[in-house]
Amino acid sequence: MATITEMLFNFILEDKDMHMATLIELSPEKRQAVVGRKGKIIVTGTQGGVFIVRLTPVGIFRDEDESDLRNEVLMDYDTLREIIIWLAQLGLPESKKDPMFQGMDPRSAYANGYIRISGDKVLYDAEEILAALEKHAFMKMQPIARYALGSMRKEEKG
Amino acid sequence: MDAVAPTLHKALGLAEAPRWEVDAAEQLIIPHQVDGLYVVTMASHYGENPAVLWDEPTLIRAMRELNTLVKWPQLDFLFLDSPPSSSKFMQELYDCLPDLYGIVLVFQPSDIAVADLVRTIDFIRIKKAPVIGLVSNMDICISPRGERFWPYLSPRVDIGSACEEYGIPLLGEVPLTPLQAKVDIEFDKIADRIEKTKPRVLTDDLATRLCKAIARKGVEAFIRRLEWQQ
Repeated sequence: MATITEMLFNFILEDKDMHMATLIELSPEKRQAVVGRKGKIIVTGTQGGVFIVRLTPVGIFRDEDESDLRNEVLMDYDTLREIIIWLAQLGLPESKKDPMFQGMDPRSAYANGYIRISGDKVLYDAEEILAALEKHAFMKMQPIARYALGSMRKEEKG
Repeated sequence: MDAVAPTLHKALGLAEAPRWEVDAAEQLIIPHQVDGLYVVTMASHYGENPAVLWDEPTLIRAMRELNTLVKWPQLDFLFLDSPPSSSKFMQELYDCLPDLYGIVLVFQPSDIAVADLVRTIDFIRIKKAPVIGLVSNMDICISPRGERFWPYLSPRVDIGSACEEYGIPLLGEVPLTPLQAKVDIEFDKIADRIEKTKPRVLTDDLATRLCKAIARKGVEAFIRRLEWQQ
């Protein structure tokens, strides 16, 4: 049975419209620089998973080949869960946020050492990844995060 | 290197650190321009509020990357602010700077800072890094009415004269004051003296005598304090 992380990533990887919309928003220089890059994401824990992803001109695809990896991103499932909670409530006024579910933004998780990124140009790549998520992808990923947060709330009550 | 407690943007009068811009074609970080200075602060990267819990190898790797991954324009000088430490991080930092022009030691002239200064001088001796001089920071307090006084419990140590005795010039004494003009005058003096001073590498013998002289001044200050309390 697929883990929560696998379900989430599969859902994100299936949404090619979102990938294309994000790619279109990038400047031509940036698009040219990032297309073709491969990275490995490791989420540890019983609900985690390992994914090799490749950015192509028509979206993000899973890959099996470990060669030419530019970055490896490592976090545990609890960190991913906190990020999902943060993302679900991004943009909401303070009064509307759930005090029981505060979450954590990715930059804080990265500074706190909960997310580890490896590669030859970590600072540059981390900045590029975080900026791309903030500028282009977060709002598009928010419905998924809200759905996930709803499930978490049910689970807590349950 | 404001790696773990970045506040450089505040020192430059910015309310918040602007995010880094990157040059995607060259894959470099673009420094921000503030009043003619090109600035890179880690607060741009991970914000100023989160505690930075990176382990030392990660910090060292980040420091090395900053040394090579920033698209600096043609610069007259590159200033690097670093803490008084002899950690592995600082050792690696000095090793990354083979063409270091000179070090300006910035210290508060209080007995509590003497040990840090002595350790720093010893560290610089080992690293054979050239020293330009010393700035006495947050020295005497000047009130808005112009009264001058020493506002701390820790007694004042005459670090400046100990350094000058051994050929390390006192570049300036920056007071603790709300009077901007007083600070500006001192900064101008410091800039002028830095320009006129030839950095020198401390020999083992000179560094040892200098450390002893500073430590002696610290003890003198401590005794003065005891006498004053009696």
